[in-house]
Amino acid sequence: MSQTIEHPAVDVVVLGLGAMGGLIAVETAKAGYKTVGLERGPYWNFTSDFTETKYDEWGIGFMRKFDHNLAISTVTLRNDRTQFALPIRRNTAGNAGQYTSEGFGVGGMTQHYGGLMGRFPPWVYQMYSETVNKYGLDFLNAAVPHQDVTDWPMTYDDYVPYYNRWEKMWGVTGTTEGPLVPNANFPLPPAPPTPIGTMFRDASEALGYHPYETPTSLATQGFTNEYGVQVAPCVYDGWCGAACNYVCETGAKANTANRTIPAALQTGNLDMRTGTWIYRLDTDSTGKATAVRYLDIEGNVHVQPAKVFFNGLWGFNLVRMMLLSGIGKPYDPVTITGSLGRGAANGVPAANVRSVSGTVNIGGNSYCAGNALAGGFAFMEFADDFVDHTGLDFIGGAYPFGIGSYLGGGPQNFDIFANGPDQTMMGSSFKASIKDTFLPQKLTVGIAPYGPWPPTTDWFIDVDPHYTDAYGDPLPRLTMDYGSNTFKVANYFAPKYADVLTRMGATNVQVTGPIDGSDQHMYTWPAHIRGGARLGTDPNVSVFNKYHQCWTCENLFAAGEVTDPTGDNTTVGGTHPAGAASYVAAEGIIKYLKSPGMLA
Amino acid sequence: MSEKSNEEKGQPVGTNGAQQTKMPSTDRRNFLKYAGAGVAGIVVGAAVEYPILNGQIQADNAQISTLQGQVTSLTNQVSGLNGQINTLNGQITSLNGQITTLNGQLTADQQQISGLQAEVTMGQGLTTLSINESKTVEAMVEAIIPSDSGGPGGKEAGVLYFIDRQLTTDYGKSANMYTKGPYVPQGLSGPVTVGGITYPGGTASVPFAGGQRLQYAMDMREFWRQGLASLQAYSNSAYNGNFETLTTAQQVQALTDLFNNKPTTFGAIMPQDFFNEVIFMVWSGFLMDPLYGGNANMVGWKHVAFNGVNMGNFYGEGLHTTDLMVASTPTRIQPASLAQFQKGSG
Repeated sequence: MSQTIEHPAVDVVVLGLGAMGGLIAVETAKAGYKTVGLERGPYWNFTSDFTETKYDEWGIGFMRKFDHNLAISTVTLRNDRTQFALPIRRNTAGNAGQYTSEGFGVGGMTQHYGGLMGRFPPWVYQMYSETVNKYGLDFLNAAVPHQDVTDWPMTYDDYVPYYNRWEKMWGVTGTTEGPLVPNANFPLPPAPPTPIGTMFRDASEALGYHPYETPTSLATQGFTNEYGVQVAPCVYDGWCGAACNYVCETGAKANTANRTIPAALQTGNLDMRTGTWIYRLDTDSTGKATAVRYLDIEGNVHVQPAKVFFNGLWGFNLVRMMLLSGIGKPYDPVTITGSLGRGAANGVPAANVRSVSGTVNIGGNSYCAGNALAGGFAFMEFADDFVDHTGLDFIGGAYPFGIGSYLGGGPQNFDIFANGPDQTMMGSSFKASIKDTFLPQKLTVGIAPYGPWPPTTDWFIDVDPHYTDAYGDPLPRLTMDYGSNTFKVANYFAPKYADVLTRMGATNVQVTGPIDGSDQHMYTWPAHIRGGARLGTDPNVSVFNKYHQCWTCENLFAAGEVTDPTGDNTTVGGTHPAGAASYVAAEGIIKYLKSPGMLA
Repeated sequence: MSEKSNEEKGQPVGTNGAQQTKMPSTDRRNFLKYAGAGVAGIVVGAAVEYPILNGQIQADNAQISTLQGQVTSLTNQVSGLNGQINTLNGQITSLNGQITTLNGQLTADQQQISGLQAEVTMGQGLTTLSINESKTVEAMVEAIIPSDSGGPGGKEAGVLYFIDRQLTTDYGKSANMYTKGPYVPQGLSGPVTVGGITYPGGTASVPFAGGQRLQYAMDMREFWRQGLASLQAYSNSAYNGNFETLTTAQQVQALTDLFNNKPTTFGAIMPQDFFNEVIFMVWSGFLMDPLYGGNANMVGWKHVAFNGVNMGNFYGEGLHTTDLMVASTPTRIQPASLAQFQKGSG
């Protein structure tokens, strides 16, 4: 017999305790506000829950034993508005098609992410105005057909203090981030560099670039963060970032459970409720949110009122929650009006772009692969607008991150399916071809440059008219595909990478032919969706203002990659810039609690 | 040194050696001296008693004849005994052969016993596949990952049992899959109308690795049931026999036919989807942790040189991952399984 349980009102409810929700929870709880944290998964004790059982490629990589179960909810995907969107029915395996599962439990997707860090450079924050001012609107429209690019509500310089604070709290490794992006002096030293990484560094330097070691969120040293949470150092067991699969048993790979939530709980102000399924935000006649509704494991309906709600759900789920609750103006792709769901862009490279590869005279233990994307190098000169685009037909660049990072980032027997199963994978000759595959005597360095996928008016998130989740609510639907800009970037930069590889002493350096990408389509959901619930200064095209406050629902805030106004820009993983921005959201929430109303 | 080595070769050198060679000469001279005296005495006697000598000669001849008979007899006996020795040697050879055969049988029996023990220990029975289905699966496993000069194959790895177990549990029940309808195939050219809405673009063509590839109104156990039955039917119609009775080349060809969607009827599923699933599951059974019933004795990991949960010091090798991960030459490490790791951790 399910009941409806009305809870007394609190100051803040945080929906989802992933990277963003964890930060809001600790900030409001430490500021003395009564906070309820709702999370559909458990509060994993990463030490006791993961130490003995995480070394399991099948259970983790394919059966996703620590992740969200698609039987409860999933997403549908189509490449354009004329298509029927098919639901993602299962997790796929194999490097080519593998996507990271949605998070499940405190930590969310940062529980198993690759830990790639790095700041967005200044250009990203003013992608629209910088491009239009420098090259003209016609250039932008030609480079990105149906472009729907907007600027962030603040500049890079505005975000620097938030970056600084978040990096120290999260524990970002790295050196001073190159002369092109100042003010980044990461708190933790980089992981030991690899031989290929140092080859890449030296060759890049010789060619006049400014390489630096790829920043990650894997604590290379133990430290205590600003909340007093003690973080243990990385033990380099190797089962870490491969295909963004593995959970961390020491807490060195930063996530909510090992950076923020323990401190939030210690204040006594956080009431954490796990195993909850959030399905609706109630609103009043003025449009303000009044309560969140969720189910517990027995099917009881809980109603939790609060002064402020923070939507920390992931990507399409964040957008869906608002659409189902009637908050915001849904995007209409026919009239190109409305803002919720608008501007969504993929943040994952296409399966096949123009690429470059070469063989270096170095072998290695590719299973003892260190961790995540550490140990490799990057440089900024190919990224964003560091190349003059006058006379070119694209915007942005191809950022080389993690070149020479630990081989493959960890155990991936599934790599043998990198090209998908086919008729060649039978018999003695194929078997012989994978002999000692993890002990290469010589390594091939492959670089697949890909460029930004700025938002377009063609891509968006809405709710599906045919499919529902286990509780009967419509699934989110993605209408999204690869944009031509990314392929043009790859065509331009691949030969430049070939120069670096040649300088590294690589032999058999090969560049694949130019590609237009017209035959390539997205066929699984992207693990990074940037946009769909954008920050901005114009309520017609954005959902949230610079404080991450909803234009149409003043006591609803949100953060995450999905609030990114500029789509994927290729520079870095999304957690770092989103994490820095979430401090602005925390600031906004506390301002609002002190003095309700639209923040300016 | 040279003297010593000559001694070792049995060639006497030096003082002692010279004395040794003289010794027989001295003895021979003494012997000739006494023998010469005896002969002289007989010569003297013969001149006096001749008739008696004739008798003696005859007697001696008879005695010689008798002795010759005895020699012949003994020679025959020796010959007979040699025959017996040959016979016995033959018998010995034959018995040695039998012993070798029996030893071989013993080894085979012991292997079978340990194999059976392993099956019992590892639970290598069928949990959901029928015996008939298992024969087809096992034949596919052997065709896809043969046991060959490159090492043990899928059969030795127990891939059949990996697949069988998976089909019984979450994988087979599609417990982690979104299973609600409607079921609309991928790769449909438009227009397609669903729930009263018409989509001129149809549905996307999704590669195997795409999460929307499988759009069937059935769980994965049923998918395999239909796939195996359809493969068997196709094998009989196109190759005149059950799949497991075909030659390896025919089996590989039949599977390639599935990849190319050659069978025109294949239950409710696309032949290529079944092929893809088989390839994925067979190789996974070879390469995933033995905990899941395949990769027995980590033969798959040994083949690809994957170390499992051995970070470099599981067997006391004294290596550390931080050294291995920045090394510029590979170091082969014996793998360890998750179960070994857990027992080692306990």
